[in-house]
Amino acid sequence: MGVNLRFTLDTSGLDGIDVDGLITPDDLRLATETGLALQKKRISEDHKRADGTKLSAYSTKPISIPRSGIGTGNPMAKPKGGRTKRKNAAKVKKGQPRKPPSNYMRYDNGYEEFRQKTGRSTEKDFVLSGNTVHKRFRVQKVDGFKVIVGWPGGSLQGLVAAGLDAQEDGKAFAWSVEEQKAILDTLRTIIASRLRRRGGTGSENIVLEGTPIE
Amino acid sequence: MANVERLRELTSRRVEAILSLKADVPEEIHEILGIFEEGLNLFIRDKGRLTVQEIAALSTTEELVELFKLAGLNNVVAKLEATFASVSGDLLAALEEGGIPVNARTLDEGALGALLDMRVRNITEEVAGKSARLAQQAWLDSTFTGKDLPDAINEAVAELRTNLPGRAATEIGTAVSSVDRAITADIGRKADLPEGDAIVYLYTGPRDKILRKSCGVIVGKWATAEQIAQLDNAQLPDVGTTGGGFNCRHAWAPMLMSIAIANGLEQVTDEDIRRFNLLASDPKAEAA
Repeated sequence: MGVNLRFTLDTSGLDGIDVDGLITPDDLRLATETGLALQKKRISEDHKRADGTKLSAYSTKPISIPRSGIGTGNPMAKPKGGRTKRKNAAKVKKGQPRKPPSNYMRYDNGYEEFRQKTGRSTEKDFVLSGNTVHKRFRVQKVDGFKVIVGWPGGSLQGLVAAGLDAQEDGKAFAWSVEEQKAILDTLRTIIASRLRRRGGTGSENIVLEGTPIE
Repeated sequence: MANVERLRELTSRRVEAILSLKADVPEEIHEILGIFEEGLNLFIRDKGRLTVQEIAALSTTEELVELFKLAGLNNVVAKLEATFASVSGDLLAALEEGGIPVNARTLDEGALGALLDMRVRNITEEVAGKSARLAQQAWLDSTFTGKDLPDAINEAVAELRTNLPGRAATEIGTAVSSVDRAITADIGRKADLPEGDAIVYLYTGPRDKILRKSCGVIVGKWATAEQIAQLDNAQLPDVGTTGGGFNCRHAWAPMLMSIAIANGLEQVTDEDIRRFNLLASDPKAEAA
């Protein structure tokens, strides 16, 4: 399911009311950011997919993490508590797994162990340094009635996020029913207020839809 | 290749700006402008990447004077003083028409606005201090050109050539995050509010063992802008942009108050504000 949104608004029932600018790009941005706020909460605090099921577990497959840390080298992302590797990794005994050189830390119980040893949640929350949250969960552009979410296309972080979503069968960054409702409720609230200011009752019948798109 | 195209586009925009400037300037200044044009093109060629952010940060006459000086045109500054207003206006107009190189697929409007109104520079200077320029470049690259943020930060740290790369990464990374928070929060300031409603901000992010005790008080709750202004993380100014401080992994997300209430979200209380501030300055304050 796509993560961008396309909105449609049918105002054919609004006779006698000025409908120009009934929805603005700022409204669409605010409404989508509202949905993203709930999505961030769902993922990073509640550890859930869009359908309410739990996010999958972190990998327990053995992994080696650079001593310099993951990503930016942020001290908080530096590995702790893993096994230090021997200095010379050139010789490997027959039948033994190849071991990484000493500038890596080894976690026999995988990325889950790395997170546990560095004090992070072992329930998946997509947060290591916070960069994904800041860069991915935001409105990038409003183009007419189309809202584009996330970071520039093609960036490696975008691919990483896509990979994370694939692990969850496309249900991590998909919009939940509650998030879509919050988005549309935000727009309806704004539209109703605007209609009242333009001489309407605010209860006029309008047809508003938001459809996830690629 | 992308950099060459960027420079080409930038140069084109500047030429247009310079030509429109020439049309407004007295005849006797044209020779001086020729020197300026040559100097500016040299400057672009030598420091194209810096020029992007410096040009983009222009919004006052003083900034433009500085650029003229960098182009080696100190002697023309006084003579062109009367035309600075129109020059800066022309350059800003060129920027608004797309003078900043952007990813062909997207244009981050909120980020562009933050660049043009000086928020990027102001926030990075507050958070990253001496590393502000590098933080700005990291933010520009990761926002407009699709460069991965970790790569952008690592390049900035490498350019800094510091003995404390971890600290530098913290400052630069925090500055970039702070700018992104400011861009998101700006949506709330621009909103045309329904009567009786307000924009509030939900504090979202992880709960784990490395969660700051101060952040732990308010994560998952929403606050008004006035309440956020009362928070103090004891590290950096403006909790609305800096969150819990350096390396904070949390973000403020805007929404209508009516929507926050309808979704059963809890509001930050005065007691929460008191505890946040207390624990920010002394994480062990509630240990007993």
